Amino acid sequence: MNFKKMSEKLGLEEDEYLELVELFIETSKSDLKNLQSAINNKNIEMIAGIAHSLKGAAMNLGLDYFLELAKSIEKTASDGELEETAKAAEIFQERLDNSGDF
Amino acid sequence: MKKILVVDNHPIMLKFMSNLLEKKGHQVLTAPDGLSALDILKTNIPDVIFADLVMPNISGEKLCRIVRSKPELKEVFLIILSAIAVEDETNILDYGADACIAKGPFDKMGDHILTILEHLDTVRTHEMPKEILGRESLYGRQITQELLASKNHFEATLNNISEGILELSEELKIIYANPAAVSIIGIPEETLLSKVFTKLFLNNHQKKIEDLLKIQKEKQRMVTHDAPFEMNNKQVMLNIIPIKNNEHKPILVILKNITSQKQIEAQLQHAQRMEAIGTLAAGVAHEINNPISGIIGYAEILKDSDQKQTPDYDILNRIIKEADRIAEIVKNLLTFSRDRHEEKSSANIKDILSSTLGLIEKRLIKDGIQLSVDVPDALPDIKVRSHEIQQVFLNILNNAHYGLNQRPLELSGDKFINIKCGINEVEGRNFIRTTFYDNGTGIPKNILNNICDPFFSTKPPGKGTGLGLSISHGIVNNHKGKLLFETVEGKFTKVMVNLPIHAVQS
Repeated sequence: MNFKKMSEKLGLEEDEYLELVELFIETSKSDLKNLQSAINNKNIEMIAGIAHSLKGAAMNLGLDYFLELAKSIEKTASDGELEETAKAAEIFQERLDNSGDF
Repeated sequence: MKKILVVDNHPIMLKFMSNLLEKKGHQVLTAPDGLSALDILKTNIPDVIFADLVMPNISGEKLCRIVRSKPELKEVFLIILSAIAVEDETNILDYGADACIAKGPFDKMGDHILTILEHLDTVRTHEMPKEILGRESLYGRQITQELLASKNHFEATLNNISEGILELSEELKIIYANPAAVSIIGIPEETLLSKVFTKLFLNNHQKKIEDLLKIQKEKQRMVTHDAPFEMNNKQVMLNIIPIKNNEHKPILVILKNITSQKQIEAQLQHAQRMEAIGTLAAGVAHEINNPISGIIGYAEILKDSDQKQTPDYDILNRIIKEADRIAEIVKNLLTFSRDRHEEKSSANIKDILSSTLGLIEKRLIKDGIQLSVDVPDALPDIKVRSHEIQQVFLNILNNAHYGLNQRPLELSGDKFINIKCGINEVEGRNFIRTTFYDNGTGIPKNILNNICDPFFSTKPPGKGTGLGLSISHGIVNNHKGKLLFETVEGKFTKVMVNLPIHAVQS
């Protein structure tokens, strides 16, 4: 991820952008924990709420890949395809875990 | 330099907005939800509030309405940041907001926000761009539309049921109230939200409710109390339900107004009690009558023998007089205990009054109350169930007695009750009016409308049922009469009982 380019695109300083991305990773990790229990309890409404939150944050920061994952979580849950939802959540989690490499 | 409050449940939004606005030299306050925002607003008046719509605890829409209902926040610009701007057709102006910015990528959003803030500087009125800024770069999202439809469906249900539903935050503040709850509690929604739930009740009930709330928290199950609590002069049953599977752990409270049920129950209980007392009294009375006759009889016999003009003659007369008194009391008790399913019959108010006074006179005089009675002899008859009217008079006199005993000792003058009867015309109909005037503590203006309400009492808890006047009111109404009050707090109370004159008079 080219932080300089992305921060420029959003009109933010690079260090500001980094700060926000770190915050995103933190809050998303905790959101994903709640998402997991929501999936286990088959609580569609709660899944939708968390997905909504993830979508918002990803969109704010121009993190398109995460945005698409969040959208997929939302759609598969509302279609009742909870297995797919769990898969998308897993990928999201992996991506987050690997973000430390950037 | 402006003071800006940002309310959003996502930390990223809060951070972004703080950075953006502080860089431009503004002072930024943040709140993660409506409840915390209201706390901040208690001690801070910002120039601008940015609020998210979708938040836990108090939603953005509710927050806007509450802000707009507070006069001290009249000049505050309210700008909504909405992630559901495109899906939700509701006009944000209905909430009282001044503008709406759709959430999206930070660059565009940042631009819109800064543009609006500049706009505020140049045009210091509420003439803001009425359309939603940023909407053009978003598209309707099917999922969100479905979510909104489902939400509206539930809201429609909650808005129409007769039970009150409250949602409490973990700190026991009210974060949602449906229309039925607002109506039961009698406090407008804007003031009700963020109030602590237990504060809605009388002091002596608050502890009990706190205990119930503790139990539901520990045991994580629904909790209810077998007796209703008083709220806004109604009898309300509470069901407290913890909500699981939710990161915020709110509490649901269901309010059921059972006042009319309780009223009917109370009337039935009262009627049964009266009947029981009546039966007992009748039994005792009949038993006593025999010995009384005996006493009077034997005294008369002694009188007839040559005891005239001796001191003993005087004593015998006194014995007869006292025995007569007992007979009178027994007669009153029998009148009181007669069958309540009686038809109304012709009676004279003077008789009813004197039998009433017979029962209560001594107690009043014992407490230093002077009694004066002014009843003409030739008043027309009324058609009534005499013992019920007696009950009404007893109730009024008991209340007067209580009021007089509450009088502060420094007040000069004696305590008195004045009873007057006369004919009174109201709207072409003639009534016998009985007026009870006492110079007791009077009735405060603010409760005058409540005194005939069932369970309403100014006596300390445990004393009296609060039912006396409501039952009296019922009885007078059943007789097509009227119960009227005139009073000045601290000076006097005047109670007037109007009873229709028996039409068949020669």
